[in-house]
Amino acid sequence: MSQDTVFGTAETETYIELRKADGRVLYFRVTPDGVMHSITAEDYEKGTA
Amino acid sequence: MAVGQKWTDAGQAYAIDLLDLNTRAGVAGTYYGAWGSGATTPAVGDTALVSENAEARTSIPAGSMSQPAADTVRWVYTIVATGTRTVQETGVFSAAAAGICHVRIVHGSLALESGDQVTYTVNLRLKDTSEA
Repeated sequence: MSQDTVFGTAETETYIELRKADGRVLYFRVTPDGVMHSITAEDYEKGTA
Repeated sequence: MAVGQKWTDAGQAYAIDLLDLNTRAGVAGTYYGAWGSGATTPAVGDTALVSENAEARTSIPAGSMSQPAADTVRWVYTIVATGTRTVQETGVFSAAAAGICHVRIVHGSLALESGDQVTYTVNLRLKDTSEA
C-alpha cells in the first residue's frame, strides 16, 4: 500500500537591520505575507535571539 | 510592488534530497545571501532574484545558521551597498553565482547609499496543517 503524506506548509519570517553610513540604525520585521513593519531595537533583539 | 515570501520548488526539492539517503551525499552544503531591486511577486517557481544588485553574494557559514525552534532553520547574512541602491528583494542561494534559489523574499523598498548595510535574518519554518 502506498500512502502519500501532505507535509503541510512553510512559513518565512525575515528580520532586517539597516545600518546607515551616517550611523543611524533602523529595524524591520517582514511578516510571512511579506509586509514590512518598522520595529524597535528591543523587538528586533527578541525576534532574532 | 507585491510583497511576499516563498520557499521555492527548488528549495523544497533540495530538502527532499537531504532526506533521501541515496541523494544526501551529493547535496551542496554552501549557502549565500543576495539582494536585488526586483519587485515581482515571489512564486514557488522562482529560480533567481528578478534583478540582483551588483554586490557579491555573502557566504553564510555554519556559524551564521541556527534553529531558533526545532522546526525552523535560520540564515543570517549582511550585505554592504557599494553604491546607491534600491533593495526590495533578497534570497538564499546554494552558490556564489546561479545555484539553487532556496527562498525569495520581496519586502518594502529600502533606498540605500554607498556604505549602508543590511543584515537579514531569514527564518524558514516547516509546519503541518494542524499547526498555527
